[in-house]
Amino acid sequence: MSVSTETVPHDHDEHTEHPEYHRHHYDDMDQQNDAASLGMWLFMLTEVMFFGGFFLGYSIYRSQYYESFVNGSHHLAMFLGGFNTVVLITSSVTMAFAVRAAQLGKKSHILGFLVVTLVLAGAFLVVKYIEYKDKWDHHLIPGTDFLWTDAGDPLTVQLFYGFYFCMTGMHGVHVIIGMGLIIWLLVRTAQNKFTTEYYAPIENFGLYWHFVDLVWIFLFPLLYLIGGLHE
Amino acid sequence: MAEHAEHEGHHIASVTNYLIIFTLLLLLTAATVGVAFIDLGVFNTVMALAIASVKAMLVILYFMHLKFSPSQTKLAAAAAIFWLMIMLTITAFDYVGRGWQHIPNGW
Repeated sequence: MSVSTETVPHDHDEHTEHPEYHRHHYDDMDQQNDAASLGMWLFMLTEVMFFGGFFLGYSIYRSQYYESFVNGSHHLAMFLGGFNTVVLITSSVTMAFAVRAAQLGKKSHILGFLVVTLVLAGAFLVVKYIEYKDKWDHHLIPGTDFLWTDAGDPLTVQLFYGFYFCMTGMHGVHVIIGMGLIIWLLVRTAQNKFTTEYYAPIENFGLYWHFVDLVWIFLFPLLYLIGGLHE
Repeated sequence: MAEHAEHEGHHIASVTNYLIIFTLLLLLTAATVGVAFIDLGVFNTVMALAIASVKAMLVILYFMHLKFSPSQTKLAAAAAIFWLMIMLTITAFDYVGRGWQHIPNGW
């Protein structure tokens, strides 16, 4: 590569008014924000396909070994699953309020709502830990220690638990990543990095967080409530 | 440009708006649990998925602001659902068509 020796005019000297967050290749902040938003949605498209694979596998084996899936499902803590649904939905609302605060430029409100969202995310994981611990104690983790004494074929009940741990586990990983991102947003907000014109990181994290909520909205009835609790 | 103006200055939804959606989501969660206690046969699954889909639409349209987003964002969201449906339905038809799948009482 040849290094140009010509004197390239330094961009920042050329035009005086433009904040550091405004990237040069965008006409204005509106265009930049729309592009950032579109990029986030495209990323979420890949996330939909990623979780879609789990749901597809789950649906096929569930229809193949329906009785085993029902038996396995009856050992999940429906109350805790439902409680966590409420926790995640609430965290979605607090996140929506954080984005709203960013739109209005209210720094203290952004910080407050992000902290509440972070706490709710932590609460979700604590409940998840209680559930996982219970499965561990009852030898319901797929593997050589798996023990099934109830009705149904242990091998295919184990398959249900395989799906349960993969799907909720992968969802849990998303929650953990989300908590890390919230902490990053808290730091950036505290550093006054965001303005009413530039808050795309908060808005796009909001999209991610709502997506995590969406996945759980489908996981809860499919894993915890199958086969009817009416028996 | 005229069409540019419609999403200039992003839509800011009211607090009441969010709280209404929040309440609806909680009610629908209660409905999902409630329906699970009633024996509807195959329709238990249909109902569970229908309620989850309504909840998903509320989250996507209002929390994720898709209702107020530019059309290229709506296209991206529609594409996600479209491709997911391709994957789910064609694979399901393949399993059924090859006779690998018995259709049991519940699915």
